[in-house]
Amino acid sequence: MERSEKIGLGVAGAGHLILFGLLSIGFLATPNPAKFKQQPMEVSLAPEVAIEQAAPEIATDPAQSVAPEEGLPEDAAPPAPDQPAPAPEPEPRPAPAPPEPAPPRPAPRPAPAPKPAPVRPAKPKPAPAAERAPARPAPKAPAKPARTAAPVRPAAATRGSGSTQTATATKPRGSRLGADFLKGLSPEASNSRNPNPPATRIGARAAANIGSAIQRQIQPCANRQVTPGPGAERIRVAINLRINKDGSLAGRPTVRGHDGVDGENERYVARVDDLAIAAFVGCAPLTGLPPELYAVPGGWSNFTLRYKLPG
Amino acid sequence: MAKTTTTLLIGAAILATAACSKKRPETLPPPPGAAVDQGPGGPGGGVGAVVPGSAEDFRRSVASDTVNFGLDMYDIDGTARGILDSQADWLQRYPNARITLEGHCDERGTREYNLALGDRRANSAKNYLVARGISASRITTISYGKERPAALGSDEASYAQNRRAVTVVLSGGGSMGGV
Amino acid sequence: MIRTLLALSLTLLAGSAATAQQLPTPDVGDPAPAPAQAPAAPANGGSELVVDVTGGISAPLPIAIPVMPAVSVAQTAAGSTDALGRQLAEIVTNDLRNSGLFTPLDPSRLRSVTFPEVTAPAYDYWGGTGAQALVQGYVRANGDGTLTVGCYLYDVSSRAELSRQGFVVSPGDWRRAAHKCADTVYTRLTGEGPYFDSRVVYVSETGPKAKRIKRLAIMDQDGANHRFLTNGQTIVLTPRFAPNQQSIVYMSYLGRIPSIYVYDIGSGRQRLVVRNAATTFAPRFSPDGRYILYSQATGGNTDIYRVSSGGGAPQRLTNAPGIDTGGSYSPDGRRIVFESDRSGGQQLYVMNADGSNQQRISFGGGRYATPVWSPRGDLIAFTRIAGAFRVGVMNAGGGGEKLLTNSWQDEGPSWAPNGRVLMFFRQGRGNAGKADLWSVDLTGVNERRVPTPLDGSDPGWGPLRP
Repeated sequence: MERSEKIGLGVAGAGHLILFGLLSIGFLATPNPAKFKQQPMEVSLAPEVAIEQAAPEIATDPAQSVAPEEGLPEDAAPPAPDQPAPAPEPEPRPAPAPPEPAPPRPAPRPAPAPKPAPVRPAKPKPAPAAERAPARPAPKAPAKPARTAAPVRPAAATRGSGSTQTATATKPRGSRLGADFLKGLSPEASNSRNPNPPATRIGARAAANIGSAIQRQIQPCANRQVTPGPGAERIRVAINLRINKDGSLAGRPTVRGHDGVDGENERYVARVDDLAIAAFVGCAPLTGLPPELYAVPGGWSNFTLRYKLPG
Repeated sequence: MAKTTTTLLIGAAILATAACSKKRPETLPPPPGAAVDQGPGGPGGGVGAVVPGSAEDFRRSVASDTVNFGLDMYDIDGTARGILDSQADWLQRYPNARITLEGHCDERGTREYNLALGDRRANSAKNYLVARGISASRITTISYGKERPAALGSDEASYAQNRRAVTVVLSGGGSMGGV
Repeated sequence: MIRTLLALSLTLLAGSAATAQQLPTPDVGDPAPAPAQAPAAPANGGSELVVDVTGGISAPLPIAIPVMPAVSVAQTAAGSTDALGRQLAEIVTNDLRNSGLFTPLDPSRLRSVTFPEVTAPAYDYWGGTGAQALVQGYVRANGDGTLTVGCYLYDVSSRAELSRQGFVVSPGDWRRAAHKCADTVYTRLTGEGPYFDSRVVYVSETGPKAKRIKRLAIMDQDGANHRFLTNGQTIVLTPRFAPNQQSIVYMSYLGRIPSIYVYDIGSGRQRLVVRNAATTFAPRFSPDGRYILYSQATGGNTDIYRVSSGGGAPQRLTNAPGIDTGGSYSPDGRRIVFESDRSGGQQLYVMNADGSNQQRISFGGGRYATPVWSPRGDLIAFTRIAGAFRVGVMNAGGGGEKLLTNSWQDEGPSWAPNGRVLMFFRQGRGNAGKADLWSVDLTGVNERRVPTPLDGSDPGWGPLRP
């Protein structure tokens, strides 16, 4: 071999070794793919903000509110001019957050309206709750007396004393119990120890849970329904169902309306109605639905089933 | 040795293909107006009584009674022209003979369209004969579409045979057998 | 030389180094499966709970059709009533099964039903059989010789009656009561129109390929009551029913002049429709029965004509050079679809019923022939020729083409009265190739042979019998 050839071979060999080394380093540097695996996450869609107050579990017979002990009314600290209404928190945290209003009192709303709130008797009836406290920490929140730390008293407001505008603005005051605060209270003490806050309607989360419970029960019967013909899968029918407390059908379902009907699948509409009703009836009576959510508006005594064939 | 084999092969091939030669007319047809009586014992009478101007005579005299067509075609190609020319010659010798041209198709077409296509083929042949001087009143056409194939197979060779126009001499106005 | 090698090595190194810098992309793993069928939150934020459910299958519906009890066992001109009850259930079972949309339970496994039970079904038992629908009925011989057949349809899971019908028929028509009952069940459970009580006219074939014997024949759509209408001595082709079902128009080679005739089913007599020496073929009635559409071949050119069905002067509708033939009316009688090779090969065209405004509608590649307009008016069925002959459908305006069969040579489709099923004929290959009648559902499923005593072609499905 010539000398030049030897040199060339040497260089090539060295280059290959360097290359091999670099690539090995590259392999070693590869992160373990397993680390990048994302954790699956359960997603439940329910709007958290509601215009009306709602509670996930509504008490039809909540514990009687007890008027808290109060001292003399006193000047509250000047409120910030644009203190927002205490929105219900996304996370189930009980009272400790400062701007929160006190739990249920004989006041219709805990809005920081600088007006004397008309006194309302605390009745053993669902009244607008202060906040959508969750079920779990519920035992603590509603029955808690007013936190003395809370500076805001959502009741009678008075004008503050002072010279500045803000100082002389009307401020929310600690509540003065009106003369007639016992109005409406029944003489018998309520025996209910139901810790849940009273509310007027099902919260969206609770509705989602009931809805998915109903859908799970109906799904196997829906899966057995036979499509009548091509194009029927575009039709969606809404039927109204009235349910007894035991989960059985209270009366003949009524058809509310249809989506997706066109000239080509019009002939299948009656049959899709049949299939929707059969899907429910086949799996009736419904079981395991919370009885306390039966009679409220949005409860499961009367709901709409929207059915369509797949495809 | 190889040369002998080759010679044998060539000889066999010649023998085999010898039978495929086209039949030539045995005798030239007599000039028009010639003697009508050609009795059975006439010179060169051959096989039985072939009445001149009859269908049998036609079949023996002309190159072929069938012309073929290409797929979906109805035009008269070179081979067809030769055949129709010989038919025209014969028809001119026997001015009283009337013919029917039958148009046929292969099975690879829908039924009604093939009836129309067969009619096209029959008319194509008719128009050619008319152009060669045969009076149109002597020729009728009929289409059989794909109803009467000549070859039964479902292959291209059979189809080529079935795409045809057949000239049938009407003998004395009698029926030509089954439809 | 060294320099070359060095250069090459460096290039290699550079390239490899670049590759080594690329870390393999991290594996993110499969995303979490979405929770199945999460119900929507209250749609309008209103007070009502709304539950969305999507589910169903595309499969034949399981249905139970037990034997129909006789109110009392009696002899009738059609046989004894209990035997009739068995046969009626059988006809209903076969009709529903042959539609491809139902799976009737094995009749031998079903319990026998007593007459009182017909109007009070034992839902507990039927629910256990897996049937989703139940057909019960009864047979009664009336004093005047007629028969009454009751037909009740129930939904097994809802435990509800879906429909009931009674039919009074003469003994000769007893099978029609079963077809009417099957139609009641079919329409209620599918939403489609009825079609079981109808007849088919077709060409019965036998004999060698070169000389097929062809006879006109008529039968119920399920193959029963079959009879021959001609004796096979002349070729007959392409028969079609008149809308009033009292006659059939067809083409015959009688007298060696292809002509079209109207055959009266009641009397068995026929009359020539067009008196001329030209070849006329491909006849059909208009939907109101007033006209007969046909094709005439003259001098190598074929065009479409119509003539009043009572006779009279024909009116020419197409005038293009080329073959215009076929022709099928829309159900409202205002338009006609036909085939023409004026563009070089067979394609489909639509024109007004008076021949004006001829527009091509087929553009799919390949040739298109034998168009027939659906009785529902929405689709046109055809034979598509592109190597193989396949039956398909397209929208009445063209487009939306869907091929339903896939054999060597399928042609000549004819619609059932409800526009959901097509009958056509399938030709076999080779020297012994024969033709048979077949049918297929509009969705392409349930392709099945229609049983005939001999071979068959050119089916013409008649209208629903009133």
